[in-house]
Amino acid sequence: MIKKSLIAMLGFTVVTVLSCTKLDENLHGQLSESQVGGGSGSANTAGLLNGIYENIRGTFQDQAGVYALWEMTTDELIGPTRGGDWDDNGAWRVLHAHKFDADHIRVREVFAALGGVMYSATDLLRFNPTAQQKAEARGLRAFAEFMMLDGWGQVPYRDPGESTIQPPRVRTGTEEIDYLITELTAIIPDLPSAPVTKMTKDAARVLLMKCYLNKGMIANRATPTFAAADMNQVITLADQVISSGTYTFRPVYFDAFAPNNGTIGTENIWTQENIGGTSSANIRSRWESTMHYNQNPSGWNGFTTLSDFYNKFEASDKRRGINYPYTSPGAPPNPAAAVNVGLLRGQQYNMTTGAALQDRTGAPLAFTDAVKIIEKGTNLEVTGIRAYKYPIDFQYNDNGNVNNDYVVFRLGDVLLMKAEAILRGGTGATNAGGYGTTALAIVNSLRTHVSRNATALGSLTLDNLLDERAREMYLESWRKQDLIRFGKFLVAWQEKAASDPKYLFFPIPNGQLAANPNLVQNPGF
Amino acid sequence: MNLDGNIDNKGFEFALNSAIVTKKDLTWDLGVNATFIQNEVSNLSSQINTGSLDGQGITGTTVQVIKNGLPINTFFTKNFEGFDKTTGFAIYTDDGYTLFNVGNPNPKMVLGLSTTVRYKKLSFVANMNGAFGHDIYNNTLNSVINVGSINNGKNIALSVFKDPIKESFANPLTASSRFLEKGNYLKLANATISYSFGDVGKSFKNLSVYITGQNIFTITKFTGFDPEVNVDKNISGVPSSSIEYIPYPSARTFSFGVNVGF
Repeated sequence: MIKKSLIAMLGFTVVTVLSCTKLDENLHGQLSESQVGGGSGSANTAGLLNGIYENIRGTFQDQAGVYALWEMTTDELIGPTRGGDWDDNGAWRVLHAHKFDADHIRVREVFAALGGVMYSATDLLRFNPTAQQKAEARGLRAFAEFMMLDGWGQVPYRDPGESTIQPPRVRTGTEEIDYLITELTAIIPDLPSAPVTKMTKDAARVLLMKCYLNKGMIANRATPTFAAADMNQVITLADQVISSGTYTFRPVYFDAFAPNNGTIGTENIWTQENIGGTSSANIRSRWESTMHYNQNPSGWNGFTTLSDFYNKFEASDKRRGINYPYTSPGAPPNPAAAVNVGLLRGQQYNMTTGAALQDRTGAPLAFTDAVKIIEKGTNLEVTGIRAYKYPIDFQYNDNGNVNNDYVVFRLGDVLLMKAEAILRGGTGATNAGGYGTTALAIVNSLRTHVSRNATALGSLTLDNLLDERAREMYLESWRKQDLIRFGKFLVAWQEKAASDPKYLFFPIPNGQLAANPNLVQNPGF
Repeated sequence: MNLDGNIDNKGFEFALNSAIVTKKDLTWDLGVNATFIQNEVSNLSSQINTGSLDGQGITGTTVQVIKNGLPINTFFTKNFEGFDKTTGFAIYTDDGYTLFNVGNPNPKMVLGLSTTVRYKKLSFVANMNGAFGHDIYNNTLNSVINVGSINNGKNIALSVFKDPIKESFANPLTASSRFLEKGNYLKLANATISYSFGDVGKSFKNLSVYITGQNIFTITKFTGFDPEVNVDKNISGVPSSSIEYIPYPSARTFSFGVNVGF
């Protein structure tokens, strides 16, 4: 009995002492070298770098990430509400209609995701990586920063090892683009030349091209002007990439996006690697988000493109959609020879039997040209032309980890950027790769390639170059940037009225403003 | 990241306990307590969204906000103006592009009543509680028993069926002030009637019998199971309040008992 009381008293005393301790926490929020080393004493920098490559895939491949912000805000993509489906508090509608605010879920999440990439890349630099690892991490960080600059005009940053308690400093506009140009130029010598799934010299060169090409837009989004010196840089870099001869067009345009594009996507310059059945981000959402429930594979019946975009193509243009000649396993025979990648319009067919499909009401599953931001009719399941560029990986679709690598940069983009730089006053173009020395010749060599099969243009203007970029680059998350650079982002288009100039920027998410006083809300929000 | 902010509760509270009747054979005690409260958030550097709804088609929808100058967890969503009589589609202020402060989940008054009546050997004890002046978001009506469910062979709410304006089956189940209901209620939380026989014979002492009930009745216009509801709809640990989403209904129970001492 006495013993028990003693123990109880002792317990009481300990509790008392602990409760009197002044709580003085040391907050660092950073792990030590041995903590990230997996027990080896020094940091596993290869593992950390691989983590950044895997991390960056998420926001670029998911339909609710970069794709939502850079495509649904344009004339290429709309997320109509269909009865009980896809209302989602209007999150998709406000993107297309340019009515989003600083609490928009996608604006919030993508900002945070890009910030996460930048943070982990900076963090890696603390751990004594090799010169190449260091350059790759800085390259990935530059890419995330470029997207944030393009979207928000402000980029938070810290030096490696800097206290994470203090809010990060912020670079804006021209200051940031100048920094990115210096940064990318500095790392190129240390970057590897291959493979395309890594941040290579050429990946950095294409990103650098985008920096120079968009510099005038970043400086003044309402009325961009383009310096000849910047355009010359775009041309020089393009010629370096093209002259390497590493990147070539395939006979089939969609090979670049195929399940086995890691092998056959020869025009790809930088991709994010997905390994079928093992490790993928959500690239399958590209087809799932648009296909109807009764198609194979069964989709989510959501996003569509718009008929004005569809009508930019001539009938012969294979980029509009084809019956894809699969060279990867698992594809059904498609006896109806129906279009199964690209833009899907009109009656749809069973890929195995060739039978015409119906929607869930029993009406023909025929995708219509007309689509409204809120569908109200009895045909609400079938409205809108469906659009996806990644040939479906039937082998691994049910597994969820599909094999299609996500395409960030590719040859078609490089050629069109080169042509644009020439059209905007750049000089010094060589006949690199034999694609021509004038803007018109370059665009036509792309258009008339067997994989595209479009007719040659008679002349090239900024307007039809912008259209050509739409035809070549649709749904690759560059449309918003292109429209702003060409001064066409605020105009009215299908299911969107002319928009307020404030939408040239995304709003800084309210939560970020609260956490970092160095960020300033963009005008008008 | 910790963000500073203030939440001020102002109001007054009174409690009244009275012995109304004190006679030998009859006593009647009555207790009333009432709290009147006003709540306001201030000095927050940014608004915080919470109150995340559930259901297909309303992914990522939040309906509450913690914002300076407003009561905590103010309902902040689209303002529902009614149905278009011809199309059966909902009409929202500014087509739903602007969100409004449309309701307050915090009761303006919380009421408690207790009474005890004794007449000779018979006694009656009852406790009532109530809350007034607040709104409840009916997420169940929004996403489970909405009009579109009938297409999938599921039940829909009687209120939707009986509405003289026929809602279109294609009307999106947009979250809005349409699903806010007045949360006023007065509930007889429990009551007991007991009769004491005293000592009976030599072996039974203090024999008494009683019947007691819980959740006996609730006076409310709220159409969900129980207006005394707070289903957890937090976002990142930021609590929500007064949202109803398929909660387990509270049971009405009666029990009968005999107390006896030996």
